[in-house]
Amino acid sequence: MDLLFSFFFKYRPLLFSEGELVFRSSWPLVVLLLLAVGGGLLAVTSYRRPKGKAETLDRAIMASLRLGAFAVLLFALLRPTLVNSSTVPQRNFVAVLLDDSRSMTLPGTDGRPRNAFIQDQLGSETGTLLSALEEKFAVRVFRYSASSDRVEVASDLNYDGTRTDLVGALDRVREELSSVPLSGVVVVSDGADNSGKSLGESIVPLQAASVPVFTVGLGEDALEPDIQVGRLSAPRSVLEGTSLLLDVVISQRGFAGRTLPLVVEDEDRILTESEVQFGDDGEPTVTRVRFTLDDVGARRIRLSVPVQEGEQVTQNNQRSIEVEVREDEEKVLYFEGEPRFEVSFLRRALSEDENIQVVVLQRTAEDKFYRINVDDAEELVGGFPRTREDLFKFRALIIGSVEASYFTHDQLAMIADFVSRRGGGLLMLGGRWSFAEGGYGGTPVAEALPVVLGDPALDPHAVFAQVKVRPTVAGLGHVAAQIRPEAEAAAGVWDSLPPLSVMNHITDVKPGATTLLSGAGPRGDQVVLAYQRYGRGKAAALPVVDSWIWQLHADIPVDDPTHETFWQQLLRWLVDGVPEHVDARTEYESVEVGEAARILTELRDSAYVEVNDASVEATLTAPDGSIQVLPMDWTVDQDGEYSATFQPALEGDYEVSVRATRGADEFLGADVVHLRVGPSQEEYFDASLRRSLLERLSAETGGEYYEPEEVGSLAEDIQFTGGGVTLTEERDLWDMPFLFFLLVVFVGGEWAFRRSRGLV
Amino acid sequence: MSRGILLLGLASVVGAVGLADGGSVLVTDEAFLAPGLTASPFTGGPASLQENDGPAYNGQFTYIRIRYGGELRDFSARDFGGRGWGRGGPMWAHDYPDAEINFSKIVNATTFIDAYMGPRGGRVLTLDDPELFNYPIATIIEAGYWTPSDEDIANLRAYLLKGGFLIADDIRDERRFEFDRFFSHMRLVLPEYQFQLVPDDHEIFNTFFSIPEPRSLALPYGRWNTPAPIYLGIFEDNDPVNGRLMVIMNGNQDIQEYWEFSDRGYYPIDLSNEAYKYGINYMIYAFTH
Repeated sequence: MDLLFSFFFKYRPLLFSEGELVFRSSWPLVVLLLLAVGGGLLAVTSYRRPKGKAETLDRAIMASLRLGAFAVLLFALLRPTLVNSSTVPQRNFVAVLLDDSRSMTLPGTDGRPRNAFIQDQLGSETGTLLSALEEKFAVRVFRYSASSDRVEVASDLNYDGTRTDLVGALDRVREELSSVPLSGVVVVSDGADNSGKSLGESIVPLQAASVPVFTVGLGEDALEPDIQVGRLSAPRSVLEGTSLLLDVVISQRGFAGRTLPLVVEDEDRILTESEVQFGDDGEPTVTRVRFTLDDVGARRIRLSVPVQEGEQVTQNNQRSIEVEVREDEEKVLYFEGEPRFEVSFLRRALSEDENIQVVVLQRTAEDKFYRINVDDAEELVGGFPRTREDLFKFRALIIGSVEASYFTHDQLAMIADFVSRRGGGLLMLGGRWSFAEGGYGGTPVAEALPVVLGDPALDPHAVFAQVKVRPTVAGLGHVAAQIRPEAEAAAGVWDSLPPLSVMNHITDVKPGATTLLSGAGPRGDQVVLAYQRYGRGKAAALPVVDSWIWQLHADIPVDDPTHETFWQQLLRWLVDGVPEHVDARTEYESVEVGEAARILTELRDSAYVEVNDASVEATLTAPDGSIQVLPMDWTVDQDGEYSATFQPALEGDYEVSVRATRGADEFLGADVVHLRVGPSQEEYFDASLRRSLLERLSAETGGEYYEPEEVGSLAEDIQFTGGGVTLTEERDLWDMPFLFFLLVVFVGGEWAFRRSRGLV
Repeated sequence: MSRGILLLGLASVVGAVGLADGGSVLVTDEAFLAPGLTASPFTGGPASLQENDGPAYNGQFTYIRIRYGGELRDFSARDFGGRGWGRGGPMWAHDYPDAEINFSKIVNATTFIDAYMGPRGGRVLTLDDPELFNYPIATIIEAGYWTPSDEDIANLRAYLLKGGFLIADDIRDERRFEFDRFFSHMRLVLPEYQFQLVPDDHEIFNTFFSIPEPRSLALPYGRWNTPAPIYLGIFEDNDPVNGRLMVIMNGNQDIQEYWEFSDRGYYPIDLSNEAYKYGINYMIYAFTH
């Protein structure tokens, strides 16, 4: 198409799209106007009188054709000229970014490895693309994977990068070449970026600097045959005995309709195994697996589908997640405003769970409290905590039927802060003094709650109703709404459960909230369990008054685990992921030997206010037992965040113990995380060509996307579209073949028409 | 004001209300029995009677009295209307319904318990009634005269193992058979468990009111040979320290007798107040354990 265009218009479309059309006629304008008017009149008058058999319409057509021919001549006489801005040869720079990651060794479109293109085009001085670029620009070649570096020639690349950080590489190039005229950046890649950074972060500065990015996409749009286990989302740390429910997305091509096993293993122990039936090619299959983590410590959970014959990539058949299994006892405060059976049955449901300590503050009468499971005689002796320090000791807070007016405004704000700032879990139960009926509308607590509080019922007993509880689609797959240890076993149980009672008619959740359980009752559907993220924590609503019915009801067998499982799951979910004062993590779950490993720590004081003036150090215990102490520095970018980087030298598990102090002897807290050091398979996931990402990058910066076979025009394109030092070039268009073609069409057309009408 | 004084005042209120009404609610045949009810063995009870007896489950705490044994002829206006000793009537119905009416008033006035305050103070249910499983606290009166059926035994076992709490009151050993009968029947219900002494310092005597010497409250009546009050219980896992109390037996005691007459002046008001403390403590214990 480009060739055809260039044949008719002398130049490539790019020059027209980037250039400006002007007229450079040396004839005076008056003469041209006279010519135009005179020629036009002549053309029209010459067909004014009837000639031969020509009708009026025929004469009009012939006059128009003659006018057209005259207009073409006039256009040529105007001397149309294309004005382009072009970079000055060898005065500008072009950066070439070459993907140096492992995925570049995978097969490309022609069956050869993807990096073969780089070797051919850029690998030596004789490389076609490199030569074309060097003819016009000063070329700087960079390699990038997890990091980016300048290289002299592309043959220096060894394609063993375990991670691809395109965003970081673009930033690096832009900064390094910020002092020279940069015409453009050429990115040669398969488009994979597993850095987790947003591409937009790089695009905006490039736009601001007017640096276009030209991308060359390598690899196939889809790998076939291939099976890939998708990215998994799991909590970083859980309590011992916690059941995890994971939705595993398995994508495949070439195995449509096949059924294969999905195995979940903890080290060498199989936790669970399920069968996965694939749909059509390219259609992802979502399967839900559930397993319990009983072994304490840093666990590496592996999910895998057996490698099948002929697969293009075998490394992406398995995924691993790193989970820290803790044996702590998490404190949950349950404040119940009226004596009712939720307390006794909830305590009973949690009695076997050694990892959850439910501290009950039972208000029995006006200003009279009964405390259960408190740590000492002083705890909660004055009722509900009055300071953030006292409240923030707990990881989760359950508020039963207690009216909002019981709390001071500061206590209500504290409860909201407990969720948003401390990151705790809040659960409000139904009752005559809960939600709108408890006067929570308009309070900070209502802000945190996931449900919309309507007008309160004047008499909550009057709106008492029993609702049949069912999980929503989201609830079926959510760990907080499980009633059986095994997911399959729960399927038929929901229908058999007795209805629960409500005194708060809640029908709407806030935007962003998720309903996990809903109830069908005489007033229609109602929310039974919903939650939302609120700041650093999560808030949930369970507006039922007697979940204990699921334990005591006549239809429930004595050994039925519904009630226990429900509460254990709900509370474990509520306390999972709740941060402590010192919350340490590693940037990546695993790194390779020699790769930079970054440790990050968020630090907060007893009121969970960020601390920037602490002394923080990380003690690294290598797999061989050797110990290294690293000071951690405040990152400045974010309050309370400290970081340190090291390069592990050994394969295996590194224990990272972080300790924070302030002043001479104020101990702020400690945390331990584990870092797995070993070969990474990250590059083999989503390894097909990410065309959309590369197209977006070029489109938004003013560049172009190229297939490997189209790169012949790349150097010239940069010349006309790139920035840097430019000069103005003018190109005559009066001799375009297209004008001649038009002239022939008009004159020939008129002659042929006259002939057809017997005028010739 | 101490809790005791508060309670004293409230007990007086209960009395005043009762007197102002011309005494407690008198149950008549018309009020209690459905029309056309015929004499029949009273195991399970006529459905119409159960339907009319108290509210359907409504989420509130409702006082539950276990009905057992006896013939329908035992139900008469005379039996229910009669007062005091030797008034006859079915054993399960002793102190009914004034005890629960008065107790519910006290519970509502003294605590934040959302207690049902209907005309009979609660509901009367049989052990084979599935409705029982909507109420985690149940009381059985004159339990020494209770003769359970196999179905009763199975249901009570399920009720207790699932978290129910049974209060056995007005069980006296002066005739040397009431304890034994109750024990033997409970052995059928929970053969793996045994009755044990509820220690004086047990949590149940301190949940709301402090009752430092629980055995000091005298039986409201009795013979020369009635033994001293004793509180026995069945604990989960037979563990009196950490185990939940599933059953408490007010041995040689009749707490509800005090409640029944607390508005009539038969017994000293401070003793009636003490008796209410036991009931409220039992409730708070069951709500929290």
